[in-house]
Amino acid sequence: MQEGRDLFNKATKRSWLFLILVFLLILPHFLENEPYLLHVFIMTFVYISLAQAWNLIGGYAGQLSFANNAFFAIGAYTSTMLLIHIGLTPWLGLFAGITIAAFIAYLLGVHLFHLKGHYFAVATIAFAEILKLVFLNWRSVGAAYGLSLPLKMPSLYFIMWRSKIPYYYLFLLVAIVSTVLICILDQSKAGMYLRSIKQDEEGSEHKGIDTKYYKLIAFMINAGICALIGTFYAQYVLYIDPRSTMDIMISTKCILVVLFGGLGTVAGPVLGAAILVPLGEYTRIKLGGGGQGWDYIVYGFIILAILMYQPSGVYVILRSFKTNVWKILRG
Amino acid sequence: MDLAYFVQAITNGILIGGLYALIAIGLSLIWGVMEIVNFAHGEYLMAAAFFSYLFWAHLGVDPLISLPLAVIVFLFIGFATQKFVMKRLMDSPTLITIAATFALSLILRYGFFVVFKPDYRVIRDTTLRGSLHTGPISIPVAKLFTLIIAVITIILLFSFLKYTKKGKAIRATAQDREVAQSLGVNVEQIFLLTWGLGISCVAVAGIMLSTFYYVFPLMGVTFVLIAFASVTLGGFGSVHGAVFGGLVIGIIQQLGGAYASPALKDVFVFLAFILVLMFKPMGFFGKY
Repeated sequence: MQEGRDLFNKATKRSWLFLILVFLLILPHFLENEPYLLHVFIMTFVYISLAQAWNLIGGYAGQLSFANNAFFAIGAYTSTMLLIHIGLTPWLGLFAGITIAAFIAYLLGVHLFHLKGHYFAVATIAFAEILKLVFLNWRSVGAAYGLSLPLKMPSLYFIMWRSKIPYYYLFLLVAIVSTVLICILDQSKAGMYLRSIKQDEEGSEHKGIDTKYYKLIAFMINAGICALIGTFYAQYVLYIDPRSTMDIMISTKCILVVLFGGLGTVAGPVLGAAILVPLGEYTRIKLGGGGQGWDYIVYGFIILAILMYQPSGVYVILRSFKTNVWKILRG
Repeated sequence: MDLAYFVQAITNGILIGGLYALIAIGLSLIWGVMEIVNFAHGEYLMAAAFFSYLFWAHLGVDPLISLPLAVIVFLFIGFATQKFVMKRLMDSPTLITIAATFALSLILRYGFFVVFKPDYRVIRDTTLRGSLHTGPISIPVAKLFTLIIAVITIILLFSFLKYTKKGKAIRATAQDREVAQSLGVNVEQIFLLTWGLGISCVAVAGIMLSTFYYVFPLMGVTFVLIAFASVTLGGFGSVHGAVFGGLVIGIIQQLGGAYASPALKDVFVFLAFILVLMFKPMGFFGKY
């Protein structure tokens, strides 16, 4: 009986996922004249992927990293510099960016993983700030003026299009791939090891888990995903500068999205981004009056409320809601 | 090497270091007692600077006169923070409290941003204007006064923690919450008091800062990172360490600015800080 219900649930879950996917795939054709709505969807996909990346290091491995914005910017700057100076396709620039970001994550991890939670958090903030200050004053990467991407023939080869629709599919793909990646990891041995490290690092070490190795791998994958999104983001907005790509708010938003949705779960970051990003955009348009600020105030109140009343996140609320409905339906 | 230039840089470092120490002790105290990293600390600093600016701009009150008033008002703001927000989160993991104080900082920062717009404001013609000159060294009166007020505040806080009954209870709670509780310390009340004191200290810093620095809604970010570096350098939870960290950070920053590049002065602060953490993972005086 129990097994039968689980199977049923799994099957409904699959068909729901399938329906949502089909919906997302055909949606752009109805939004051709709504570039702003497309932009909201694209930003949601960007934050799903960035939040999944952070989920890996923060949610599974339990390391409070604030360096997502740094890796994101490394990806954006590497491919952009290569495109500007040698006209290299961003598809190759992408790998350069991922390699550099993962290498820096490796160096940071080797030297900083022995720090306790809050010390590690502050150290990663310091690293991201150093990078931002250096880039703000570094002439050859555009300093505070930033870099404009050279306009090439719209094509897949240069990842440049006039319409937003191809970008929509690109970022949707990235969001799906990063979520699937976390899903595979969640089921794998490595995922189990990471969770065990988060719960009790010393204990895991005694059980023979190479804690440092798994944390490093998680951190490097996190950095790689961020760099990848950084490259695509630069191709999408066609202009990057330190203030927009290295803003600490990028890291913070990832963390808030994961916490809001549910820390260390596959669905959490997806739910979190799907609710928070459109909400932020909406409040900015409705209440902003041209300026910024309202979206962050709304974020602040929502996050505070969820942390105070249900710190496990929306995912848990939805799950308990589902069980309750099930109970009522069964009488 | 010009000696006067060097002495001037060191002097600037000590002057600003006193302010950093004052921001950092509140942060360190709150961590020491409750193991909460207050990411909203810079926003309280900003709010206090606005407090001073608004009194000056609308009522013509000198910042030095609004200072004692601010201490009392922010003591209660600190109480309120604990009572209405942090109380529910006392036993949560580090990540949750960091996120909660960050959410608080977003609300405060962008609340001021929406109300006052991102403009920079300046307080002019207070009692603290001009500079003192001793030989080739010049010392702005406002900064000198800030250092003096910072030293007085720090001494007052230390004496409070060391000699009064409540202060001893705070230290006992920081050392071991359960034991303190079993000895009859009202821990809830100590948490309230700690938030109050921590926020009052940063309010003093905010008021003094407003006498020589711009007042604007996003100012907290800059200072909170420096304060984090100071606290971490000294070691989280060590109030003496925070004072030491603040001074060291101030001097490193000003020397870096004087000899390398003013635009990159904070890079030296963060680099020095990461290097220290690599070799001393809990800062110089940290217990946890």
